[in-house]
Amino acid sequence: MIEAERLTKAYDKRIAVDDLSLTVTGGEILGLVGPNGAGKTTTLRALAGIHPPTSGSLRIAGCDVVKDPIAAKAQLAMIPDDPSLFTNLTVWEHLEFTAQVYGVSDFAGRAEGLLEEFELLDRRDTLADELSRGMRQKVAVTCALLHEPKVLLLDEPMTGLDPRGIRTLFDAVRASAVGGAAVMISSHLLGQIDHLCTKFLILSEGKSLFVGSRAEIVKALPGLRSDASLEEIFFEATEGSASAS
Amino acid sequence: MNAGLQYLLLKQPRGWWRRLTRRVRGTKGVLAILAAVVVGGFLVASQVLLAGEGSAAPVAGVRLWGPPGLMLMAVLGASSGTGLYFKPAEIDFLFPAPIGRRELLLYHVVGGVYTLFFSAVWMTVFTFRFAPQWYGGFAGVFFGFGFLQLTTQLVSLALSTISVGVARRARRLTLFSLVVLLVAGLLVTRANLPESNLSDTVSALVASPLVVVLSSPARVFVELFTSETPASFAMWLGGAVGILAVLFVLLAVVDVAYTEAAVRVSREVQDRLKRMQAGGAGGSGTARVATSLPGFAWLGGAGPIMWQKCTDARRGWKRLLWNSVFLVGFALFFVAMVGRDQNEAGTAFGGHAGWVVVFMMMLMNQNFRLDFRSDLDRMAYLKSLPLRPGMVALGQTLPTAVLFTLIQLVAVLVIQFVAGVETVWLPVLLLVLFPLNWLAAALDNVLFLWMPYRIAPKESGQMQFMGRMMVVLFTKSMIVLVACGFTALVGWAAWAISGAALIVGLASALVLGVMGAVVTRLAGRLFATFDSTKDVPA
Repeated sequence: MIEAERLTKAYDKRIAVDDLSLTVTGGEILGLVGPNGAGKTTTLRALAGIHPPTSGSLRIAGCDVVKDPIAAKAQLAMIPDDPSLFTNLTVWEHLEFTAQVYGVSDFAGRAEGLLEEFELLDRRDTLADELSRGMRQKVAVTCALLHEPKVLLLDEPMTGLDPRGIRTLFDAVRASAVGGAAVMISSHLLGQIDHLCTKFLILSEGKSLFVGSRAEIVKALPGLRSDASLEEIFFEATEGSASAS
Repeated sequence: MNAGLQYLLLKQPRGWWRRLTRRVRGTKGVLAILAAVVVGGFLVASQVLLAGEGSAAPVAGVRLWGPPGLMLMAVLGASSGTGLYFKPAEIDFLFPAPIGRRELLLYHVVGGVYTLFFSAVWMTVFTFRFAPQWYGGFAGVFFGFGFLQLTTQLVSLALSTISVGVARRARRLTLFSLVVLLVAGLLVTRANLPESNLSDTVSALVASPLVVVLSSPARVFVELFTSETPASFAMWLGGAVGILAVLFVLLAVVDVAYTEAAVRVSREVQDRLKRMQAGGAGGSGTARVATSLPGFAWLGGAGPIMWQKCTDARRGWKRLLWNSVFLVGFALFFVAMVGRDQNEAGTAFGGHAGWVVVFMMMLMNQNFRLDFRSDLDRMAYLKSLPLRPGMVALGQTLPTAVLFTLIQLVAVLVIQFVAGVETVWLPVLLLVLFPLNWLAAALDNVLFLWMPYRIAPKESGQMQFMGRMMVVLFTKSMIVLVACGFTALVGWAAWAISGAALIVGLASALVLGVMGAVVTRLAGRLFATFDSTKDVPA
């Protein structure tokens, strides 16, 4: 579903992502973790067809992101970090607009279901600029899920969400994966995504340090206990020390 | 075009109207609309009266200066960016969506027509008296703006294909070349017309064949603006539409990957807006300062607030200095010219010193917001401090008043020195400067706290923002005018009783100072009742 082969992305002379290869198949949830500036957002944006890669190839559901961007984008949804909404549209109009962009003909039932799931039903006719940060995040999530994408890219999606919102989001992500979608989620909240993701990619300075399931990574890092938390794995991988000192 | 993009374009005016009507609710909204109607009516009436008096510039003048002026604006506009600007919501929703680059570009151009239309209507209010026919005037402005917009977008699109560093160097080189060409042109023209003054030299340069040829694309829009008959209007309209069509086709043909540059430009614009919101274009700089300011006296809590504002001002000192130097230099130039030509140095001093004071107090203050206007996102924090609201208001308003007074003092003394005049009224002017600036700063804060706003250029709130600024300026001007009128009466009475300029200055300063204190107190009250939990619209 998601394939990146030798992806390199450079901004002028700075290399943000360096020779990265990864595959996420349907049903998998890949946790993208790394320190600030590791290249997480750049990777997600390149996969979403926003930043063209400097070299390498990217495929979404079998479609080349560079050569056939429309077909690739039709299969994916991206939830950016701190999403901005259209100030002139209401919550419902955002869903109506998304349905039109992705050609979802009979969207009303699913849209109402999503609004209910994310506790936005009573905000249906509220203009976007009257919503709180967390509610804006929820609207972006509902829009992303509306067309039932085969690929979900989430960049720090928990920021601003309340505990109930986070649980609903995780349930929705798991449901998407169970339905066959490939999911990539970047986050600094390691404790939160530890049990959500089926595998992890640890990035540092644009390079892939480790990719694989938790068991595979633990096996590759001999200093760790077999039941090490994701936080311990992260510090061992990035700083060579499992303790967060 | 993608159905979603069509939906957005259709919803845009409706959403704009909905936001506008939402704000009309309540007393404040109604009063704001009334104020806008009064100010708008005043502006339109003044232009109609001017047109009636036949004070319009001759069409020949518009035809001479218009094309190079418009062309210059096109070059400056085109060299101002390094990529297309999209709103953050457009980037978040449209860039990852299955929408083609050309479709998105078409949406971008068509979406700009709304703003273009309202901008053209607004500009026509001020320019129609220069046009023989109102419809030609409007069409000239509308299509001229379209020309500026499309050339800017075309160049931005082209710049998206090269690296940021190269794009920025190209922009600097273009601006440098433009300045060199202008200076060289002036020198050559001057050499050919040794007896001419500066104004004649510039006119001759503008009328030279080279400038006429270079500005010929813009000439079509100026001819449309000045068309005198329906036939000539139709002809030039065809030309204008043709030029815009060519630019539009070029935009569609140039199929480059612009999204990455657009994301960068959008982020830069948003960062700039945040900086402006935090202290104005020049009020809050990022310059490094070697040492921190010594702590101010407590002053009932106003001291620490003043210290923070002064530290902010210190980091933006370069912009403040250049703005002040430019302003004083401009005034000096006119003082020198008027003084030499008309031998009216005294009048020139009075006029231009006053101009510097008024400009700084009324307009420059809008750009250097060292007060509550830069603390909108910190209101909850300010309210949590164990300080009396009146003292917070004092701390917010005094730094601007002191800073502007110091600059004005230097400016007035320099202008007085250059003008070479001796006047008994100089002490009066110097004495009233501080209380006058204090009153103006306090008024700015009262108006802001009463109806706060966020800066949102390039968003749908841009026109409302501009309208609001005009209303604020008008209201402030009226209040300052009334305050000055009352102060003048007191000053006159003091002169009649004492016959001493110093007494007049002291009495006037006292009256203005009391007014400043009262308005600052009012700002404190408004701060105390300010509801920071309410979302503040753009």
